[in-house]
Amino acid sequence: MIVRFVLACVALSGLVTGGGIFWQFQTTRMAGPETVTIAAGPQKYRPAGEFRQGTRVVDAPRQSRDAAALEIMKYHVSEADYALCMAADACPPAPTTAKADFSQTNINHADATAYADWLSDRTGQHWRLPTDAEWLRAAAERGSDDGFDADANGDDPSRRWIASYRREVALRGAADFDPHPIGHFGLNDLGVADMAGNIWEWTETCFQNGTLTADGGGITAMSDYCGVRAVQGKHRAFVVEFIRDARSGGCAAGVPPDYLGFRLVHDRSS
Amino acid sequence: MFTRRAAIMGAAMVAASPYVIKTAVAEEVMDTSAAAPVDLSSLTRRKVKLVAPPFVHPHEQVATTGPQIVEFEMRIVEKEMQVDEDAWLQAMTFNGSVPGPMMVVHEGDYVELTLFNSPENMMQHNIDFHAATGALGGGSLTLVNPGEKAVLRFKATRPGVFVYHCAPGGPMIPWHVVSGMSGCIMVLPRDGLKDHLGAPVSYDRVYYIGENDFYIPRGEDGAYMRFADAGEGYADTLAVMNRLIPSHVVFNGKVGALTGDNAMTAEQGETVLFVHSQANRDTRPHLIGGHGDLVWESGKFNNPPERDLETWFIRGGSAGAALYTFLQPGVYAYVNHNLIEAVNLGATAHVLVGGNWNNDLMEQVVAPVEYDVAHEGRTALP
Repeated sequence: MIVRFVLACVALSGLVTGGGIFWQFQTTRMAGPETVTIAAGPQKYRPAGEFRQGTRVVDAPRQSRDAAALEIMKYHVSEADYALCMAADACPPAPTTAKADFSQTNINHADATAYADWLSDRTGQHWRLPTDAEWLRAAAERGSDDGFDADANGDDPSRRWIASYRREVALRGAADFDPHPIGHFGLNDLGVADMAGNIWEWTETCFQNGTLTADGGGITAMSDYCGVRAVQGKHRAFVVEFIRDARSGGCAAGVPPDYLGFRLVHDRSS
Repeated sequence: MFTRRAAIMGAAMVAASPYVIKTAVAEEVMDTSAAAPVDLSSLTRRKVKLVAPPFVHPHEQVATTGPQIVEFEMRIVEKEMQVDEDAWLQAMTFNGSVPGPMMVVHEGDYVELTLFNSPENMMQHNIDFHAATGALGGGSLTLVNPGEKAVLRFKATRPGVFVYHCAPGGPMIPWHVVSGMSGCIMVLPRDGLKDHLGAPVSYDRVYYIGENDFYIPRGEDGAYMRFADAGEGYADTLAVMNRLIPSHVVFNGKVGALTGDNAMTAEQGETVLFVHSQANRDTRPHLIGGHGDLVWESGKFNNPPERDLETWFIRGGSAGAALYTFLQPGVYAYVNHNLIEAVNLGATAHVLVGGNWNNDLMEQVVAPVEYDVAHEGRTALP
């Protein structure tokens, strides 16, 4: 994480010193995208990753927590939005459908982060990817909990394996590989558009390996593996961070997402 | 009027004529009516209704009667089929499925097939049984135009699993085969399967996995081309075929046809016979996490089966059979162990096996955990 921050700084200072004239044009502040604000409140959340009790793989405990207020983009980042960042040489090139009002897909974690950095720079605000927990809050009724029943948390590892396979097949239903315009999947109860349609969204959350307490109610140790990130949509999935199209692989576990895209949160804490 | 249909029919006719003998065999249409008659009136007859793969029609493993005439019907259907989320094929099918249905008889039985070529079809078709003797496997006796039918009878003299496929002459042969026209017949020994010592063995379930290689052309935009009918796609498809690099390698006609809701199932302790055919191209089945207890790699039951195989080789143009008793529950992947073909081109199936985990066979002794780099792992390297 520190290494990445340093690299980003190097790139930025290069832009400042190497492109002085260009920089002047860029200083006009851009307005931020349309957002939905969700007030602070309680959230029940099950951490993302693999959790063990002894040697058994079990569900992470669903814990109650106080979530801070959240301001999240109402819509996905569109092809038109991302094109501006590409034009400024601040985002890596990504394939487009040449339809400006479509969500930008075929995005990996670094692309999304580059866009967030560019948008922050242009707006003078702090934009970043949501965490897995933040995404689930914004998804409201469209979010899904990935806990299993007791049988799949028992002693026989094959039960969990098969239950997981069956659930992912059921959750995913028929895959939808047709691109749709922004707004196609409508608003959820909170007014956030296109949650859990055919685009899975990158989150900042790394794959977590955790160990539970003996009674299973708490987490005693947790370590992150950030080469794989949680992505959210119809179901939670874990995708290797450099993958742009997870449909035919690149999925660290489970059923792959249809498309990978993203939206950002406006972080007012900094 | 010269139509596309006439052109395709013409191409098939020319290819089937004796004046264009550049292929390995001389195709000709023949009949057997002048040969000495055979009296089969003492044999009983039995009708069998075929079912779509990966399932197999009900059958006896050990025959309880003497040889019979076993009657089958198959209708040839030309239709568009989806082979991947973004790829469509103008398929030619035996009985509407790719692969065609698996037939089961016993050694000494007579197979009597009525082959219907639907009137709405565009092309001539026939059937060549690798299990049959003479007349190009029956191909010369079964060439039917749209709207025609033919009845072929052959004696199943050799026990084993065998490919059947369409072979209507010349360049039509590979094209029809890679458009989906192949299937499998299993000729069981009358007293059933036997292990390497000659002791009887049986199966609780049988699955038929037909593997196909497809050659779907891409357009200038990089997307797979979709055609109004088979004829329209012929030239572009041929260009891809002749490079020998398939766009798709799939089980049961489609990427994901045997995964998810359509995954095969079994229970711990059950013995499953996997019959695998490939009419055109070599393949190498492998059951990830399992084995082949008894494998007839070349598919012929008069040869003793090999034991405990990890992967078995199916020659293009043949079928093989592997018997396995599931010992551990969980999700198994049945793949073509050219893993590029399995993962990227489609040749993956799943088997969901219920039961109770056996820690004696496998146990995770230490779950993934960070280790002390300063003190651990130093003894691993030489």
